[in-house]
Amino acid sequence: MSGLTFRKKAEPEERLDLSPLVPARLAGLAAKDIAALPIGLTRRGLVVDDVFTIAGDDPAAIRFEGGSHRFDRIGEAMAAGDITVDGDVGVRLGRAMAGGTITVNGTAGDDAGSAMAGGVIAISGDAGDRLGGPFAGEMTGMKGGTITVGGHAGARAGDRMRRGVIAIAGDAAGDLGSRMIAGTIVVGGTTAATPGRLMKRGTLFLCGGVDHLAPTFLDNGPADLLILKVMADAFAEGAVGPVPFAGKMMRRLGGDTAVLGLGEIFLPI
Amino acid sequence: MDRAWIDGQPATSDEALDAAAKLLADAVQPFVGGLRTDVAGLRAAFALAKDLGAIVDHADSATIEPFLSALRDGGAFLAAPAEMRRRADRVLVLGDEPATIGADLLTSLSTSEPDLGVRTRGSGRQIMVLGTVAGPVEGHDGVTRIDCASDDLVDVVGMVRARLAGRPIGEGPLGGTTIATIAEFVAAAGFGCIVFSPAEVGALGSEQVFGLAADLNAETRCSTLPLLGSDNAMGAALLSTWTAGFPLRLSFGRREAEHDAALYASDRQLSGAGEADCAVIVDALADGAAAAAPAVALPAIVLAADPAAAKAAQIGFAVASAGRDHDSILYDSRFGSFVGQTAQESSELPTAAAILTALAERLGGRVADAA
Repeated sequence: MSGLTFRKKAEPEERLDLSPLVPARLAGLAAKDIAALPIGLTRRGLVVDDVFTIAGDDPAAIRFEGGSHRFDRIGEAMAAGDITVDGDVGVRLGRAMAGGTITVNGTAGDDAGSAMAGGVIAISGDAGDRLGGPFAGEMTGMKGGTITVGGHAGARAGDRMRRGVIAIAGDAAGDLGSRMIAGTIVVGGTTAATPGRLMKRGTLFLCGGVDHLAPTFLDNGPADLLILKVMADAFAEGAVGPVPFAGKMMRRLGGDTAVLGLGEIFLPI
Repeated sequence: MDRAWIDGQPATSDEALDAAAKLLADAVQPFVGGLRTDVAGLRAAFALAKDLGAIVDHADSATIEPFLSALRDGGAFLAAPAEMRRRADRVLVLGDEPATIGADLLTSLSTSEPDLGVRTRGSGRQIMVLGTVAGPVEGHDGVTRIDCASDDLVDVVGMVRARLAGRPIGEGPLGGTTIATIAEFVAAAGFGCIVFSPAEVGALGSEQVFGLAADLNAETRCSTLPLLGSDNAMGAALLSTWTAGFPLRLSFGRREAEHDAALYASDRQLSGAGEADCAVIVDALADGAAAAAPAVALPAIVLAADPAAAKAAQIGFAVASAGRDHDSILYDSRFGSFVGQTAQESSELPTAAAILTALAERLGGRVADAA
């Protein structure tokens, strides 16, 4: 058996809902049934066959050859298996996923990893706004799992995050970790104003410094904590990989005292 | 008087409706926007959008989005202006926008006193403004102003919350003594009121302000008066919620309404950066307070109270102005509700609702066939 492959025929003229193309929903379906699945978002009623050429037969390992910023909801609610995208993806990548792995060799739109509960999302390029956050009206964002971003992340990454890890190699845009409840975010590049706004608990490692911090974060001084080494070692062995704060002293700040104030931000010294 | 145009040339209403129906029937992803009209116009626009499978947004929804987002995510203590006028003994005004978009409200609060409730009756009213201008209430009795830049508001409100809760505060835009003064001002209220513009502080900032009101309610009473840049957009968002289950920015592409505040935003769709390939734009209000109209990169059917705007469109209809030329129901934030408005003038022009309904009737069969 070879991995099930969806080869893009041409750039789609409308956004596509690719949430049906996850391992659990494709298992046991014949190629002609997969080709007939509706994925369009307009009254035209596009199906898989209108956009993709299908090859392979193993739904546990799905590959998209060619991406698009209109390929929405890839890997939504998936619980196991692998999805690889050679190209860009649209919004809500891996939303509410519970397990498995999604690898994107390109950029991702808004709401990637929104409310995910487990599994791994690896994005080689940039990610849009609200990475690992809640969707409109939801009480919590990411509840578990790991997200890695090779490029930059948009505004409010980790909003209302409750558990899990987000690692951003590049810069983070405004209001990183807003309203965070728990969990860990590591940023390699610089972080725009104002990280951790209204965070109750949780940990932000801002390894490239920060533009502006709210006055409701208080400096606790340099920290050469054993836990930093333990975390760095654990990240290096897992899905996150080596982190920039490994082996370094960091300055610890506590906040946001506007709310509970039990969150922490680590900055380079 | 001409009432309809095709490519800038006068046409009969029937010819223009036929041309508009053909344009919409051939479109893959129509957009229904503007929505500057009354409740009847909105109902007709939503009915047409459902038939078409269209994306829907209001021209000014960007000004209310921060409020809707904060309200939905965290809840809020909200009051009506008339109630605050009679109950609030202390009013905290945040930022510079209230001086312009809330000038009438500030004037009304500064020239009245609380007369309801044992906690506040007869105690007079004090107003504290945190901003660079106090606008119409500058120098009035009982009005103090603390200089604070718009960009610093969210930090300052956070510091006040920390101070009230007895948690530590770092160095901020205002000193510790000033923060203590603000905290004591709101904490000593019998019934406090916070006036602010959600668009000025953003969604997260609005949540900070609503959080302050919630904190204060543990010990005393406090509510908020968020000033919205566009009452009409708020009315459209409310109608959208009771019609489709979501506030604005939604799509009927798959029949059932789907909500996404970013993907279905008016600017994104009309600029051609989105997926829409044809637009219906309703601009039927006399107040002329529309946000700067975005460049429309799509073939557009325009229903406008301003005949020049209708004539400039690919297909245009001159329509009556809601609330001026015909009796209308419009949202009014002074009441926190929809209010009937009697026509001030008589007009021969059709209403936006009538044109939209005629368009939907013409399309009925063809759209159903295409689906």
